[in-house]
Amino acid sequence: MVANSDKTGNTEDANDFFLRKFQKELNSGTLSLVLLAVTDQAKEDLYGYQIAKLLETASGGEALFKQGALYPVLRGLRSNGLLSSRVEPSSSGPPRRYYRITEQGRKTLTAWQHAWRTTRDFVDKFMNSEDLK
Amino acid sequence: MNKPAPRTIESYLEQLRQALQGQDAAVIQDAMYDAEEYLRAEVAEQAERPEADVLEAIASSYGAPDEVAQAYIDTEAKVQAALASPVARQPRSAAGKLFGILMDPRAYSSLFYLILSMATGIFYFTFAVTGLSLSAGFMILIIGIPFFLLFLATTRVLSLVEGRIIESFLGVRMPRRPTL
Repeated sequence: MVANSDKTGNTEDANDFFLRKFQKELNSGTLSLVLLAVTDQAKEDLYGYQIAKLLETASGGEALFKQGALYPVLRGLRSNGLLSSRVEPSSSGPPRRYYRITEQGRKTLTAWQHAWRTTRDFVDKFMNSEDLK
Repeated sequence: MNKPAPRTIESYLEQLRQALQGQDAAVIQDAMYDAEEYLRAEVAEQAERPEADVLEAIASSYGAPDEVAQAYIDTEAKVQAALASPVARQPRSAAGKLFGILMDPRAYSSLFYLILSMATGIFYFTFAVTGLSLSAGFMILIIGIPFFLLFLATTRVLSLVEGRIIESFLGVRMPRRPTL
């Protein structure tokens, strides 16, 4: 939003703007995939905050997304039937919603993983700078 | 944008609510609910730091209220587009306009809902009257007040059920908050 006003002036700002826009577009697909994978690998049901912290640790400090963006994706996956959830009271605040992957979710995850690997390999073919030079 | 950064959980939630103004009530409730879960857990996790410090850090981890609101608005736009029942074609001819309703599946689910409300309505009414009069009767005994509170709690469950019925037959989203 900031960079839009002076595209010609401050290239630093413009770079930042385009980077964030690109990252957001990437995330719109990969977040769902990651959340399905995380719930699939989890031994127990996880609630939103746990998942957020798990991903924060895994990303090693470099935040690719705001953790607030996870929750709407979780709800989206649930309303599509890929995750199921139950609500349990908690001592620290409002009741927590625990998520678990469904049978349909597992099938979808397998298909998505395949799509992800294909996409990644395809993109990587063009990203290899030595080949390009 | 020029709002002061929130220093307490309450002010964060208030700013989030403002940023979501005009959205579907169910979306607002979901967003507030998720944010409260995260904020309370984070504050409890870092109990030794003052709440204002934790809230400051949250803008970069969880996201500022504006950003979080935007994430829900974006997702909602996609979900709504995906879940929306197909819009019935607008017939052109006069006869088509008159008989078009016969082809609209929403008409039949609404009709079923209206018939079903006879049964649910009788049940709700009986339940409410029985609960109230039993509560009044028990008031002279020690179980009066607990019974009344329990009765009120069950009415919340019933309204949740009614909300789900409306969602499935009328296709309107109802806000809900799970009871403890």
